[in-house]
Amino acid sequence: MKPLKIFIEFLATLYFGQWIITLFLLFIVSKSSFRFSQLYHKTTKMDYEILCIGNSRGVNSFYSPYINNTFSLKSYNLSYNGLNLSIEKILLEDYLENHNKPKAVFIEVSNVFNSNSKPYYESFNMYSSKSKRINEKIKETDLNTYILSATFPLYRYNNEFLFRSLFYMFKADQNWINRYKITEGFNQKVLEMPTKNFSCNKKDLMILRQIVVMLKKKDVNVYLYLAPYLPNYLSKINNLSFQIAYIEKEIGVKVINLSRSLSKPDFFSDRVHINEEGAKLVANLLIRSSNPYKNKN
Amino acid sequence: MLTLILNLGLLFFFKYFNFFIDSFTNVALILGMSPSIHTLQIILPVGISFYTFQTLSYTIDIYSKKIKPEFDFITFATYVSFFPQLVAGPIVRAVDLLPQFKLDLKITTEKISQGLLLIVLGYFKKIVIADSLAPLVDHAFANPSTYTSLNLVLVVVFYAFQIYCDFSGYSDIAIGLGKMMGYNFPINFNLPYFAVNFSDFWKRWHITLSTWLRDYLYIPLGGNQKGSFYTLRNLVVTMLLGGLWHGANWTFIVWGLLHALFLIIQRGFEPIAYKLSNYFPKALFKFLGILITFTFVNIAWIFFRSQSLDVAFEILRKIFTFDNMDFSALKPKFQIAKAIIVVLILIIGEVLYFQFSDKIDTIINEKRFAKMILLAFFLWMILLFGSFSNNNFIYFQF
Repeated sequence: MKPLKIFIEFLATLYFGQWIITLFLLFIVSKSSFRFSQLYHKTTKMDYEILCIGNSRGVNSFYSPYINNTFSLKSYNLSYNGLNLSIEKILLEDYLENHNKPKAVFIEVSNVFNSNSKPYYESFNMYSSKSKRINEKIKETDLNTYILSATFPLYRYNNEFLFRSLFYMFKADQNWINRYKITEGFNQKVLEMPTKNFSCNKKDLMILRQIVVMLKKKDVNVYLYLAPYLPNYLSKINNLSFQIAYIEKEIGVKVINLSRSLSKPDFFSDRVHINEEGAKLVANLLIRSSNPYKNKN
Repeated sequence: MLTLILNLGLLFFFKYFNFFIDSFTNVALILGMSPSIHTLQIILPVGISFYTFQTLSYTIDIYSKKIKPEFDFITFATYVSFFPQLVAGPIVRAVDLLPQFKLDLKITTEKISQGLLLIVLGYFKKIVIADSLAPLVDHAFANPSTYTSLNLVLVVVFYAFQIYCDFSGYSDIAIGLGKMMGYNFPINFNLPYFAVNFSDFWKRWHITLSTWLRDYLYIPLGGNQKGSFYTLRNLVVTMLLGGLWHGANWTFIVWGLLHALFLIIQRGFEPIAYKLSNYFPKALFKFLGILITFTFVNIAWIFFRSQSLDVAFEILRKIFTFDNMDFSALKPKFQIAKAIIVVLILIIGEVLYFQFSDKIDTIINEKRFAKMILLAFFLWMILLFGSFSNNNFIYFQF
């Protein structure tokens, strides 16, 4: 009996100890200004007039502090590196369910192109106790993670978002913007790249359509936009106009095509991401055409 | 002699045949010849380097009458292929393991708990530390030109901890499994990055290999008993073969030769170091020794890890150009943050053990709850920081 007693004592220590650590981390994460911690843990309802969502091109092209100060609007950027449209749909659904609906949502659409990456739901595992949708997706796509997380909730915090949450404990998450400028050498080297064709992922287009329909049903203005590309890189893409036209036809919404709107390499931090100066110019182009701005002015 | 030739012949064929053919072909091409010798598609048997050395030690110990031959084939086969340490060590000598097979060993709860603690510690080192560092190291060594000098320095230090945790983690698991079954294996690592000089490093790193090389190669060659020239020769031969044992690549040979060079320089520097030690506080002198040893061991690791000498030299060149030492240019930031945290957990744990090993061992052995908390702590860390990326143990390839 003694070994059994010791074994039970050990299991209890292991299980309850990991719960104590989990609760501590939950407390820390809930106090963070990291965007998804705000989405899932904010005790008061988020109340923004404009939201933006997209992948890293959305992160870099929608500079909400500048927009808020310049246009006296309340905007918030929910974009994240490598965000897939499936996850964007879940994030927007959860946002509309838990917070005050925005007047407008800007969606950066470049993740529709050449997108073969699987949605990384497990990165959002930290929020699975707050989002039934995320929890279900994890169960559907990664049963091992689901079972391990259900048994040992500490496992939910085993991802990069924990570190980002800790980093943004005392810093504003929305203040981050890329300030790097490419060099002339880099800009010239881009010309040596082979040409390429973009192609729309049909499944992602379908999800984008579902997002647009969902937002319109809630009387939210939807703006699809394509952030700028470095001109030398743009010269290597053969069929971008065709792909944009295809998206517009499939979704029934015009795409604000800013791919060519910045001609100077100084506004870029690499071939597909703009920097702070570029983001300010893009803000002027995007926001002035939006209803929240027009209604205020 | 026959068994030596057979054992070493098999090892040479499976591990080094293609390497020597390629090297010979390259030299011949440089000399203007065009030999027509083809390499073979050889599959390397798992653990061949380890069990070859184990069987060699058995043969040599019988010859030098340290042990009697084992006539029971099952016992001998168990010794050669004992699963806990078959694939990546520790290299256990016949004189240590064969007598244990003949004892009526009892499996006790004490041994099971001690073994379990070692196994979980091993998995902690592998899954939390080694596998968290692996993606950073792999990417940097594959694309060194895209990294800043500071980034590469950090990656090299990460590799030092990756290989330590990967290999010592496996050794812990092997020793723990053996302990659970009642068998005692020798320790393979003893806080190697606390070494104060290079000979101290080799008394702490892969101890079963370094003692094997010392007893079966260095000492039979004459050790340090036949004058300076022969001592240096014996050091170079031992470390060169020690490097070559790891793999069929010039990078491992250079790694071995670098360690030989460090040991030679240490020997030359020892009288000066002894005099200098009088002018420094003992603790500071020891700390400087640890820092210098760690730095040069890391430089040697660059060769050990690189796929080719070209890559190794490119990394060294990039590091010593001190191009962009800005911390804000480090990438990828959050993976680096996680890597630093897990390495710090290891360092703090090892510093505490280094300072208070007797007290810690007593507490763990006598207080059941302390052992339970420690075991639970490793499992919590595996849950929170573990990288479940199915990376093989590094030393499986040897």
